[in-house]
Amino acid sequence: MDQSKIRNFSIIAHIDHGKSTLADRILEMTDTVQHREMVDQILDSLDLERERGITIKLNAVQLKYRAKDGEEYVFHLIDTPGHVDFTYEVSRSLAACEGAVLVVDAAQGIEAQTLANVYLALDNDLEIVPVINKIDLPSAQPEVVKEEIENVIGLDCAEAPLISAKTGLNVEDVLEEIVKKVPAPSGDPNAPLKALVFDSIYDSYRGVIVFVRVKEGRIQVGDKIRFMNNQAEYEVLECGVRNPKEVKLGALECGEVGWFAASIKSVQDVSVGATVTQANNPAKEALPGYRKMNPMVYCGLYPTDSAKYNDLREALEKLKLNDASLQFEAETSQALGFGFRCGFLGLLHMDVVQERLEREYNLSLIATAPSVIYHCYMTDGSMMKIDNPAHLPEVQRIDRLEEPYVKAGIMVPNEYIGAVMELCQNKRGIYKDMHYIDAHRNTLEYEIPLGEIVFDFFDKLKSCTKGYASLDYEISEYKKSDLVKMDILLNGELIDALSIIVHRDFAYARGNSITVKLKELIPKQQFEIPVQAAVNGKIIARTNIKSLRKNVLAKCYGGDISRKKKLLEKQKEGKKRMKAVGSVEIPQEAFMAVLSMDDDK
Amino acid sequence: MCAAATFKNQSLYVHIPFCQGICAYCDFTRVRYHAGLADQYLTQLAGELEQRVPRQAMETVYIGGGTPTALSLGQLRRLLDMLKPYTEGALEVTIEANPEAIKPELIDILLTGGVNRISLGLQSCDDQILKQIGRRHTFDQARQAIRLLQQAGLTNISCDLIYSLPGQTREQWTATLQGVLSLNIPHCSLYSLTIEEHSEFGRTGRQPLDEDTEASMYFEAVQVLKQAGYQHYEISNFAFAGYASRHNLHYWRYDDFYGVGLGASGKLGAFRYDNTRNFQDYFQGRWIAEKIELTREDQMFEMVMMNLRTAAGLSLIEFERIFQTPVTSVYSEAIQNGLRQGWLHLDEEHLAATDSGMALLNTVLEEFLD
Repeated sequence: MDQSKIRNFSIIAHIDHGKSTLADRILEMTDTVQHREMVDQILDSLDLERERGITIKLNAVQLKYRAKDGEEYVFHLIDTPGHVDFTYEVSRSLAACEGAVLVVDAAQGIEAQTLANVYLALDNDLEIVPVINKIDLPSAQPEVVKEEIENVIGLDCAEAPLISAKTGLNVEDVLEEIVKKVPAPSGDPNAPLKALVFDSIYDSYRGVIVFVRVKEGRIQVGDKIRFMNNQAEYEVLECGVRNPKEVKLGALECGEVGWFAASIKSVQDVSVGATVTQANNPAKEALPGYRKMNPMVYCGLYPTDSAKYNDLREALEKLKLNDASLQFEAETSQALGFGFRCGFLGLLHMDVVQERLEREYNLSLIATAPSVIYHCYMTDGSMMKIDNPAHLPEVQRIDRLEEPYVKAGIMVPNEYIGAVMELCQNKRGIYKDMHYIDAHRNTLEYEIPLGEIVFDFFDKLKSCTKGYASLDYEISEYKKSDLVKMDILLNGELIDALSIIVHRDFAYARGNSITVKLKELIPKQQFEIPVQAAVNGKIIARTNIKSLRKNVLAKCYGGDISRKKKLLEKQKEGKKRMKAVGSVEIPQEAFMAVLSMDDDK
Repeated sequence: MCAAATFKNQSLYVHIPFCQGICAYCDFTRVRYHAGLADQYLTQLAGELEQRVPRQAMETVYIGGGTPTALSLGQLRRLLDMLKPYTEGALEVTIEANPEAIKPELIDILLTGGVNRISLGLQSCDDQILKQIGRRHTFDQARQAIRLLQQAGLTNISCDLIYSLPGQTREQWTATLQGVLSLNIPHCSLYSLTIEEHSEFGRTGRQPLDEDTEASMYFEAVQVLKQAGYQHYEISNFAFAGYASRHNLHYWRYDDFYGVGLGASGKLGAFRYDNTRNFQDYFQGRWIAEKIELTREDQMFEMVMMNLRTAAGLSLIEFERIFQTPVTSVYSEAIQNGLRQGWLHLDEEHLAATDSGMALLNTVLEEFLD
């Protein structure tokens, strides 16, 4: 294949700015997908992705486009996830491209997340094709947005297509711009193989399907290949492209984007960012940028019904086949019994996994509040990594605690700067800098403990800026903090699953709001239940759940029998979703109570 | 179907779906009274009775609503005439009435028609509250009405009361209880307000009082009424000795019963039927909207559920007679647990809820569900 006719690109956009819709239009216009086969947003193959309008797993599609110059071009469109949890995966899929289409909403302008991905693209030396979308909206201000892109990113937008992905208006201009601006691949077809892994999925018949960009050399069926990060070797059994249906080919040529299968048993063996080479003619060095991904956020997952422990393990194992970044190991809680401590890339990742477990595997789960990894330096000089607050050693043995901080960039309209600064301050943020974007917006830079972000930072940010601010963050470093473990006692009994690690200055306020929240969430039972928050054995907050004195329907005559029985059945069903901890029945939501705090109250 | 399950059937419920005005808490099958509609309704009711209820004397007949006394005097006479085959010789014939409707002419018609028990919608002894919930009488009017009834010899009177109303204070409730004692009537029923979705309260988003206040009001009422000589014979019902409602006891014993009229229900063996709530359907003779077959398990549970509402409790002999198996073996775990918790009491003849078990009956019954 003639490399000069290949164009590899991604689409970068903020959630809701129309990335998937544009991808759909491109697929239609290149006749890759027939209209009648079209399901909206075809690249988002998981139900959950389609529902939430986000892309979680990547996908790559080969398209053929006859340009106005009369030549036929082969496009590879590599989809990228649009969320901060998946930054590394985005950077690897960008590394598989030569160009990126930057989609900006004509009414909303650039968002923090978009900007972050643009910088990732620039880091990977990508040619950026700006596109202004949604120009059919009455509130569209394409000239203002163009100016913003020029100011903030320094991209020339004179020729940026003004499109409506929804109606298809001017989408062809985007394709022409790709042909004109995105460079063709330039790898050496005769050099030893170097292929970049940017995604993988698990297929129960063929093992792992590896998605690669061939940077140099070629891959063909029968090749013995080697992953340069772990030296694992396999024989290629099948390879090909997707359009988006799978197409089998004899080989993937230099510059192409496609997949191969080699009877690989688990996605664990295949890391995003790894380099594939030939076993008997290996490349001298791997492609740059490979990083092992580590989970940032942990929580405990327990089956509501302890008999479902094995079902949960099997479900997690199945999910992990397709999601190498999910980690889990068995743990036990005195309160919740047997379950798993699970590690996630971020909060969205955690949410998605929980939802898939409940929806696809029909499990009823109790999730404990998310926690970050604390570094606990002991008086004997050793260091323990703490991913579960309940496991924090006793105070006497601790020399100091460190927690991870993030570098947060918040894009915010001028009128909300004060509110956002106040929020960041309340979340123990350290002010770093403020950049001017345009006359109306600024970017605030803060260093904030990740532990505060995983609490209610997103919600708070949204509500204090009416949704106009956007946030991007990356992990920066561990810093020493004055942290304490706060325990919650129900009926005098310590509930380990409710313990959290909290800054000493906030302990009192949080203890108060958690106990009040638990009082609301835990239904009255036959006896009075004291709810206490304690730090180092000292009670700092207390409420009481009064005992249930009366629980009977006033009226029940002949005609009410069915209705009354249904009410009882419903009541019983509700109980099933609760967890009996000692003598107290606790509903699922209570374990997340520590998250929904109103410190201001 | 369980061939052995035979229940007693000696009662008839008749529903009159008309009211002079609609009360704020009500979601029953009822419409504002309209003379022509009521005439047509009575004609249809006669047809339903004839076809569905064997012409035999019942032990009890209960005419409820709605407000049966919303009918004109002529219509009321017509209704009682058409019920004659069932009321003649009956031990208890109850009619629901509103205090403002009680007039000498009405009382005459009721007595002639065989009525021997009146259930009055008193609801409260506080005029302010009566007005708020959309009632059309004052406490004084109610007192007058009761005097008239008693003078005419209709002394088997019950009053309905509501508590836990939005904004109601403990003091107001105490005053209402004292007001009831002053009436010297042999029976009263107390209902805590449930906000029904389709009532005015439900539509306007009103909230009942908190559970704790409601519980206090309930326990206060139980204490006050018991002290005054009433027997607490069912969760919400109190009566002087010999004045418990025979008709309602049939429901609570899980006996069979006939139900006729718009929105009425009945039970015959393994079947419960619900009549339509739609006038059009009813007028065209499509009386029954739904017929539900009850499994043996349904019937056993429902029998326990209903009987535990009464102070007397479930008759062990009756249960075994119907289901050919002792209740203590069907529900051994639930019963053991209830006994342990002090919710239930078991002797040779009855399984009954204790005072604490009665107050927490929903929790107790949950154990009996599989």
